Amino acid sequence: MRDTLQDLRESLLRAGLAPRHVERYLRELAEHRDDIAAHLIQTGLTPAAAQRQAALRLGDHDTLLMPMLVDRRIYSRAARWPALCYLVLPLATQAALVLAGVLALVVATATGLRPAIADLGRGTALLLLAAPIGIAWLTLSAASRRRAALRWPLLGAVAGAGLAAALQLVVIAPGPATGRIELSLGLPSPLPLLVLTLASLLPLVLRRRPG
Amino acid sequence: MALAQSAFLNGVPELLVLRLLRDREMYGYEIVQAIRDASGEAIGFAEGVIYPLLHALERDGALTTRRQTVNGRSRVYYSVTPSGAGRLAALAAQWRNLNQAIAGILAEPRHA
Repeated sequence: MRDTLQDLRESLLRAGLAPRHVERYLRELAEHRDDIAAHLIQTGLTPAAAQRQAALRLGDHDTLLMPMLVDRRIYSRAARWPALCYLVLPLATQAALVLAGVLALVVATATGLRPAIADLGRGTALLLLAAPIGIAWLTLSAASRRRAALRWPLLGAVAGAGLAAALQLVVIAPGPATGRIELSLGLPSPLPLLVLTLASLLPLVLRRRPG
Repeated sequence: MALAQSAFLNGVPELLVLRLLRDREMYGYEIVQAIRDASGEAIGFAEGVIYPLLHALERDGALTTRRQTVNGRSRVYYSVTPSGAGRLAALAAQWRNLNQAIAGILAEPRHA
């Protein structure tokens, strides 16, 4: 029976239902099945026979699957708008991080951190380079949890790596006159692009396949 | 009163659940047993399908839930909200009308 519920979990997630609704349904089904089995054991059935009978009474895979597919309210947003969730949102997050990083540097120039601004600039540039990796890992993890198709998450990861490799953040330390914070977008360099893409897609290699 | 097809086909489980929960809160297994007991096992169904119905009613605001651990077992107790009570009254009225209409059809002699 555990396998039946496991199969049901896979079917529900692949259909696009939000994981929290799937987990709640399966938890209640498992509790219900245990209640039936406990009652049947009290009436004299062996545990094995009671489990079999409980599984029959609970319903088969398709019977338990179909009623859950009817209500669109319990489908995940990622299933409804995969391009938005796995491509646009990660890129927007990355862009927001870039802007926040540059703004933080600008603000830092007006504080006691001004002498260390060049180091801060290099640190920020490094963080912004690594940001798409973290975002891609989160996105791929969310997609895996939802058993989503990999097309949009992959596109999102590659686009994020491309954006990071194309961005150039240069901070010139303030001299006697003035310093400069420069953010430019150019053609991505092949080596950083390759490294970032591979690092972003690492969870695909490491993840444990369900079932 | 015209009865929507969905109410005709799908309203019965909802009606039964709301009616049973009007008296007291219950968890899923209890609800199913109460239906079996009350119907003398005349109403048979795969017991697990009660949960999509309960969850949908909860999302509609007709039911509310609370989780409680009893004898080491975790239970989700369902109870009817005021909105659910109103829905029950409407469904019960529809069901009585339908019942009356069917009874009338069964009672009347049919002419070719």
